[in-house]
Amino acid sequence: MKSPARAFGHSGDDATAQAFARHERRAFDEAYRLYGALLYSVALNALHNAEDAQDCVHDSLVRIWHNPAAYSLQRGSLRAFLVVCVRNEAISRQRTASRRSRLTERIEREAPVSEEFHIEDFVENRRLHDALASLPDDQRTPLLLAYFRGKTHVQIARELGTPLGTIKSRISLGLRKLGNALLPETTP
Amino acid sequence: MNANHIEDLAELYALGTLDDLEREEVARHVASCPACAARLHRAEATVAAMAELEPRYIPPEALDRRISEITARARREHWANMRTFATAIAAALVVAIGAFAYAMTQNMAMHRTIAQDDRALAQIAQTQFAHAPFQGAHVATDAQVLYSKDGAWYYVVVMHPDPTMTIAYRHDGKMDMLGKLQMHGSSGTLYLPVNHKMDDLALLDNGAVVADAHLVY
Repeated sequence: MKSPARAFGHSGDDATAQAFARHERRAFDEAYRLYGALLYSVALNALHNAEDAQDCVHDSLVRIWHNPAAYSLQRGSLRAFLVVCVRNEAISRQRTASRRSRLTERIEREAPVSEEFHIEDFVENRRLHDALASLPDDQRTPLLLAYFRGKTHVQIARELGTPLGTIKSRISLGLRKLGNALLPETTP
Repeated sequence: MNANHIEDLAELYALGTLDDLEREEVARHVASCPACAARLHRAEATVAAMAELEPRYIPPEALDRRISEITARARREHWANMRTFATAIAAALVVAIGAFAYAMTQNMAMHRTIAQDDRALAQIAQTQFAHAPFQGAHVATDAQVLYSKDGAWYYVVVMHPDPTMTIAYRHDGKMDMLGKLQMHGSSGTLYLPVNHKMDDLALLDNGAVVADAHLVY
């Protein structure tokens, strides 16, 4: 069973990332041990269904495993790469399911099946919270709709009654501000 | 999308708000533009950090098993491939050793035949000899026997023979088997240093006489 203390942590990312980039089986297993809970959480938070979330994580990782060139060290953090892959898969499933069932998106979250809270990334989260709080409403709202609701910028523009180009700029600017708050050392 | 760079689309791509067509365009551009790739990866890192803000869950054991099965299957396939490779190597070795042994056997037989022919030629060169054709329904013009006038040796040559053909000495209503033809490509020979005058040699195919040679001294 994975260690909760490391489940959301970043320790070991560099060594694991290097081995992962070399497509080593043990690195793949280690990456899941390190980030499996995070990836599952990303999928479950987007899909609100435990089975769908499992399929989403599984299918994402199968695709990554069968495409050895998918990750390279130039891509940066392995954690970020895996999260984005799983999140994109989740969003894709969400939109497909939405189109298929013609249901309006669900806003209410299901109760967590099993939940763990960790404070290992408290500092990072604190910075992120502060950065989110300091964003102007016209940037924060479309950014949160994009991230937490998985909406396209077209849907957001329609929902907020704002021109598409303006929405794209605001989402982009908002995310860059968050990035600068988290990663100031690489800010140009 | 700007003609040169993806600009704001980097963040929209990382957030997953683009449609499939836009995503493909961005992915294509990023593959050949390090500056845009760096901006995109930074945006992806920020999105990954945002994931930490959401409720967290422990993956079910069933998912753990499914994920471990991904690499376990690869491991099994790897070892299966190794076994196949080892089997192929072993089979190749068996074939190579067999071929080598066969070549050695053939080589030794050939050397024996050459040595036998050398002895025959040496004797032929040193003695007076005659020759007589084998006459029969099938091999009348294709076989003959060279023999010394004193009956010291006989050298049978058959063109395009059946490899199982044999030579026999016919006398007094009996047949004494003398030996089997030694094949040399399209011909077969038999050297017989018997030191005995024989006046009727028979060429047999599967035990049946197909031609006779009458020798005169």
